[in-house]
Amino acid sequence: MDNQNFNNMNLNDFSIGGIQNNILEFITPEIMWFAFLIITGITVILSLVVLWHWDKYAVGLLRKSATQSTYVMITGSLLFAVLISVVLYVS
Amino acid sequence: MLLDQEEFKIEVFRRHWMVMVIEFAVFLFIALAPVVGVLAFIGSSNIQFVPQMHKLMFFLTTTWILFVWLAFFVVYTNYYLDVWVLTNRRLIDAEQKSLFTREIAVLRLDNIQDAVSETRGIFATMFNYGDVHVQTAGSQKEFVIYDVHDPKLVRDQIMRAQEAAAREKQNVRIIQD
Repeated sequence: MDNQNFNNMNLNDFSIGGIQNNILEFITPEIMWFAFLIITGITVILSLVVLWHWDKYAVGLLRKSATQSTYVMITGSLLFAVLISVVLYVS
Repeated sequence: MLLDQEEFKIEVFRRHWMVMVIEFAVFLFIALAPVVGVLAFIGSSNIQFVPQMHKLMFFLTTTWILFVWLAFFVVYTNYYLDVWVLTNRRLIDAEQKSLFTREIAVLRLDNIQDAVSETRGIFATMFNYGDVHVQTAGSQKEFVIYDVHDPKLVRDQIMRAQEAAAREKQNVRIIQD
């Protein structure tokens, strides 16, 4: 790279601020909502599969229902936290 | 699990809870290590992050923890659905290998030749858990009951049940003769 080209480059591109701006410009609200949709889809499908396994194979009714409700509660809370983070980002 | 006529359950064996505690510790580390690492990096460096970047990091953190939680629960499901049932006639091995892969093997007690208990490692010795290898007559595969509590007691229970089954079979033969 010759000196002239080097001087013409935007040095901001190499700074942390520049990288941050590039990332934030790239991740638009649409991308965030799409990511949330994918995350929700994966979570729902995996949850259905796992809960089906518990329903079909688990022995002990009390333990089964307690585990299933704990799982749904924790997964729901984490997914809600992801939703909050998306809303904060796009707002 | 359907039992035959005159068949009754003697004992149900599961993996020891300590196995799951170790798995939990590993998953907790996986969940928190990157988060703590990033926070430590931000705290120790002079880099100024714009508020929007903090929000993006919050999103990445919550997503990461959600996925680690989902992976942990799959592992817990595999752990909990592994079960060995000893009846007066059979030893039933129901193993959840992974999601949608469940293996059920049945061993008749009169096919058992020997059982060997094995405890390996610090935690297994401290918390008294280990494997029980059940050796069979013929070309059947070896049965292994993994990470069960008090493997010596389990081995004794299996051998007692095997002896009782053999005695019962002998009595039936004598009556028939």
